[in-house]
Amino acid sequence: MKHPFQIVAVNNAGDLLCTATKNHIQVFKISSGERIGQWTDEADNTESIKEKILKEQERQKILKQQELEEKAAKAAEEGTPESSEEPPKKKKKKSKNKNNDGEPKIPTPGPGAPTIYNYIRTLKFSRNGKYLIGTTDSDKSVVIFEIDLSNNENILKLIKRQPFPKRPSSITTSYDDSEILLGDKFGDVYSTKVDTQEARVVNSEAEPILGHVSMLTDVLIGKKNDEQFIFTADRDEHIKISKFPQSFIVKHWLFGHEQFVSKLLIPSWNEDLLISGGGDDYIFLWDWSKESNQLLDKFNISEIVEPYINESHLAPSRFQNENNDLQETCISDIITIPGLPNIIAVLVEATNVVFLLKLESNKISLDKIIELDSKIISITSSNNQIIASVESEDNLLRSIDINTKTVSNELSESFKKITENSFVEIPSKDELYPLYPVFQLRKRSEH
Amino acid sequence: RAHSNPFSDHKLEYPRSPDQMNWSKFYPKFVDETTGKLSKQVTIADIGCGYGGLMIDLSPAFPNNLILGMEIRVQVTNFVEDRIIALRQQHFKEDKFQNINVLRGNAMKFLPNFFQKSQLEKMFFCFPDPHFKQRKHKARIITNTLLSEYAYVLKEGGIIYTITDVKDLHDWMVKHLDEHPLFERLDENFEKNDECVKIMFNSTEEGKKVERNKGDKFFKCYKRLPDHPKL
Repeated sequence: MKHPFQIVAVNNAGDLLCTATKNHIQVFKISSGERIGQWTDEADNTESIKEKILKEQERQKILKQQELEEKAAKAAEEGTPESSEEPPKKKKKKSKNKNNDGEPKIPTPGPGAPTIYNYIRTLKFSRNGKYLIGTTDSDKSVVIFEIDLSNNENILKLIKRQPFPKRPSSITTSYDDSEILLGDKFGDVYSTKVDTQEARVVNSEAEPILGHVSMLTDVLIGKKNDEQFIFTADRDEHIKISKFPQSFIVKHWLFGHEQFVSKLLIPSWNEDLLISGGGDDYIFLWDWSKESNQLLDKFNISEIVEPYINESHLAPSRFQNENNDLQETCISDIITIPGLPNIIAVLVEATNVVFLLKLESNKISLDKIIELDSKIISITSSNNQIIASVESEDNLLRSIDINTKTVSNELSESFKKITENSFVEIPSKDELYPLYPVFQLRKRSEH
Repeated sequence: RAHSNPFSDHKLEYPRSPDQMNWSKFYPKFVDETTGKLSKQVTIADIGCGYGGLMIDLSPAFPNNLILGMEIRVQVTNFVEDRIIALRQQHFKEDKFQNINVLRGNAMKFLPNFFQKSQLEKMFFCFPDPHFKQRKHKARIITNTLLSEYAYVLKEGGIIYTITDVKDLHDWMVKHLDEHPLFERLDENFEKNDECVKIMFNSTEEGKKVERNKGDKFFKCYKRLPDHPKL
């Protein structure tokens, strides 16, 4: 069977569909379904792990050496003869550390450990549409592709591959597309230039430009009076706004979420607004440009989601209530639609509906619920449609016409072609990569 | 336990935002009887206060400031709580030690939940966990990214005090504070004349332990600069 697309993204012109499946990126022509670009992450992460371990061992050695030298110097200074007790102690220590000096051991998961999936976790077009940017798990890299439409073989030209110390979890570009900001699993934000360097594999020693002490879930750049700001969201309910590029100046925090934040959006039709969602029952609407009273509205989605909840939304047994009916939903995507101002499309993870919400006079209201025949994994939009990747066997994509706000069959032929042309096959459903990973962000504090 | 992982999701209580923090129960003697509200804000924070020795010595030196210790280890926090209750009872008549208290919290994650922008005048980082391993360096309490958050809660001219017996950690803290555009190192003249430096050098339990072991104590203080960056 064909593996469903984990991420879909349409370019600005609305004619290309980029997809991420496992460690593969594919680009299709929407009109014909032809595959015109592809890239597979073939990096092996054992080498980079080895390198890191060696580096740390080396550092520890140097530190120990320094410590010994300092002690020796001190002893010499004080004129005390080396005590007879110390040397045997040191010898003991050395023999203990012996096994550390050899070939670095690559940690391998023990039996019963959860499967490790290496896949493309983020995929985004630059604002000008010239570049496609993704992140890899294998070597924790940002990969930047130039879209080269003149190349008939493959329009994806890898221009840069920049590894980072921790796994990237979100990306955005500066307004002029010259810089990429990347948020990682450890809460740090790094910046890297979009330049046409040869693809290279080096470990970055760069310092983060800002950080949280919590996994970052989304990073955005917004603008107010020609001043740019970075928005960062994390697993600890925080949304922080810092200046850019003076990222050491924190503008303020947006307080209100009671669960992790998974998604931030600044709508193109009003850049003073910020919409956020995550593990809460609410979608939050903020005026981030204000200094205080930034929360404009909270829209309760739990009621409208209720009919579409399925067994996958039940809380894990360890955290379940007495009646075994505790359900947990989270927002996995919030997008704007170029042809529909004042409307946002919201995806609640592992449901088969897209909610269109209307923003009017700083209030959010329900515009339309669009139900599909299969569970939705990822959504993207162009001028005239919302494209959804779904968990289905025959056709991996669905289209929603934004004029009629209904499911459209117009493109079903080319979508079938795209499905056929996708080369990522799996023998059975058991081999599926994670399609709905957002719910794992929920905090389970135990002590 | 001597250590606590600042990254793990402890069961912590923290307010949704600084507006929602109820300080009255921490400093009951400072509650204005007519409004029922606290007459002062916390302005001095001891981050990772350990057994509370610093606060206890700061208390009489700054009788008009509210001083808060934050500590991530439950048992240690409970100990300090009991210690402060006992001190308050002992000095009931003089109303002493009413301006200090402790709460269990993860300052690295939730400091902005407790304090408003520019609320603090002084922040102390005394004998923090050195986290020797390179891969644990992000767990250190002073990093360039956390300094930006400390700068947010500190007012202009506010002071960060650091002290440690670990040379490697001292060098690390100095390096990051020196490099941060919103902090400026204070000179020896300040160190000689500042009352807090004296208290910090002599009062904490860790500091006394270092003294007993005849170890070195390294310290530095930094001033919060205005928001425009160094040129």
